[in-house]
Amino acid sequence: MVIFIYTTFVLLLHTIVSALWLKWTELNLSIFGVLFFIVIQGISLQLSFSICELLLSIFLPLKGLSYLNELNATPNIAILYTVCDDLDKDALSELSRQDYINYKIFVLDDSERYETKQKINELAEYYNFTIVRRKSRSGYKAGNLNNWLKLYSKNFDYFIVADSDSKFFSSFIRDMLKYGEHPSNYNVIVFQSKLLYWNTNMYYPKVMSTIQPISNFCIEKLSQNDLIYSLYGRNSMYRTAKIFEVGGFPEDYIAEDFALQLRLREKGYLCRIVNIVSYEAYPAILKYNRKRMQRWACQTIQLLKYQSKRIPLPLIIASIRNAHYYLVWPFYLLGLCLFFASSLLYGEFNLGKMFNNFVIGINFLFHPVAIFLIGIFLFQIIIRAYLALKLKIPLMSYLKHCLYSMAEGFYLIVPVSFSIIHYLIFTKLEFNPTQSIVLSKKDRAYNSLWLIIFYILWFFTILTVIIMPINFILNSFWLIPALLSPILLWRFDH
Amino acid sequence: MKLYYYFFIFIILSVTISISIFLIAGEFKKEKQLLNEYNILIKKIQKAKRLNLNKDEFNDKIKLEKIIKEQPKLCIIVNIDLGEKKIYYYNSGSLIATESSKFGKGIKQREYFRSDSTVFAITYPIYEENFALVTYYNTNKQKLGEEKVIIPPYLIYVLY
Repeated sequence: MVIFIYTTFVLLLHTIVSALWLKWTELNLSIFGVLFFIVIQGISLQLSFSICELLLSIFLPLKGLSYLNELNATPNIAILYTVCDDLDKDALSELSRQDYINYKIFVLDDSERYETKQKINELAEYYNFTIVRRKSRSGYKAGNLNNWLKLYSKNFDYFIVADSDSKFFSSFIRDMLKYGEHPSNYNVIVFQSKLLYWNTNMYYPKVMSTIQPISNFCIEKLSQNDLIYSLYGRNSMYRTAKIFEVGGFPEDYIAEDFALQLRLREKGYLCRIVNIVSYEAYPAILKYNRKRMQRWACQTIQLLKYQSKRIPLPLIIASIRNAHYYLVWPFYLLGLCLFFASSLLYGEFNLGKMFNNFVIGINFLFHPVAIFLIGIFLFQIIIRAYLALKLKIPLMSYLKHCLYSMAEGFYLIVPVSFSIIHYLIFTKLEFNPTQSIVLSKKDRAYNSLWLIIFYILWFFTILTVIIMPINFILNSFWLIPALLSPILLWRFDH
Repeated sequence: MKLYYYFFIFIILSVTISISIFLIAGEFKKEKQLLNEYNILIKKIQKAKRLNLNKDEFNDKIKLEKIIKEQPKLCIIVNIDLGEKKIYYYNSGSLIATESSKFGKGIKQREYFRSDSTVFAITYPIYEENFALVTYYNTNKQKLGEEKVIIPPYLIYVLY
């Protein structure tokens, strides 16, 4: 029922925007008309999904999982610390501070660097961890976990997957088991904790993770109806036998967590979020987050190759929504290019008419449809502000986050769009841990392209302020963060 | 079925619904408006004088001018001859414009729309042998209706 309301509302909102656009353009079938229509379709669907998710999160009642007050048994637990040249010594050593008795820690080491391996050996010896290494990195993280499943799964009732930067409270295992051992949760195979970030003493993680409680609030509500994926592949607890039964983690997909959730749902099993907080590190600097976004974009699109006949409708819609979220990025880039190009080439290329054409180009943003889109976008910000207040996030922190995230979004348009286009053309994808990345020539090219777009945007903005100040005022909410992005982002990197 | 099939189906569905609803709503509104105007137009045409002239009469310029000057409102004279058309647009006896061209496919928008005229444009593609399709437009260049007419060599519509 919820999925039908959700989908209908998304399509309805999207239809209103599209109909308004078509009414204005009167089915303009010129190249610009068609391209603008495609861009508007992408953006309006994205905004429609986003608004509907937020509204549903507010109005849906929360039905949490049942849990035991006290543990009656002490099942065998394994904590799997996955590492690939991105060792965090503090995080690894903190894993040994659990107040549960019957647990063992395994370090699943895919590292290639000698120094990392040495450090892991030292820590493992000191804390009595078991190291599991393999000959190749086949299947990436999924392959690493499957390797452990083959070797040790029979000895453990549950296992917990931790990334190299995961941190837990000392009661984490006990708290998770209270959910796992409750009889009514027999069909739930994966218990996902709520993620927060521990490195908020750094400027960039602090600003960017401000709205994480809002994300957790929405994800918890939506995931109980499978409207959103509820498995992140880290800081989560799994029933070992069932995971083994379904064939382990899918190795064909970089997003092994989402693919596993699909595989489990095919068998009628569930993944659920539980009300237990755990921590991980937010990418310390912008460059790392950019790489993470590029990888997430491609791996989410890669998941569309997943083949099944038995995935429930809500998860199909969730997959579509996820893929669309990233696939719309090249549309933003196309929109920006059209915005610039329409100023020069509207109708036909004519330098004499350039000024008039420019006015037509910037007039696009002053149009009722654009205002409608801007309205939806602002509505979304207001709903989030309401949630921020509800979850006791200071309003100023929230607004600061909005400003910075829009600046970051403007910066990310180029690399994320190009990564997606590259993946769609070559369909090759590799997994690289976020913090072990060296910036390549391609990354520097992205930066240069971004700067070019940035300078053009400044040029157009100055002209807009002179010719049509009202247009500038109307668009200031996205123009100001975009124009200030180098300054804001410079602060992130320093 | 692979997930991307669902993705494409969803995207195509969302785009199709958007365009369809707009088009259906637009067409419905347009048709209603068209029907009203068409009914009014039909009544006017029924009242209109329809004069058929033969080739000699048409070429008699003095007689032709007399006929035109006698008409109080718009008078359109059409010459259909061997695949070529000649249209004379008059209003209250004054010549507004003339057009001469070969029959083409489709309907071409004319530049002779006048707000003070009752019927504003007519196109004459050959419909079938001995027939022509007359299409009526209003000042907003919206199509009002069509009428299939027998082609006499020369046809004059006088609309009040």
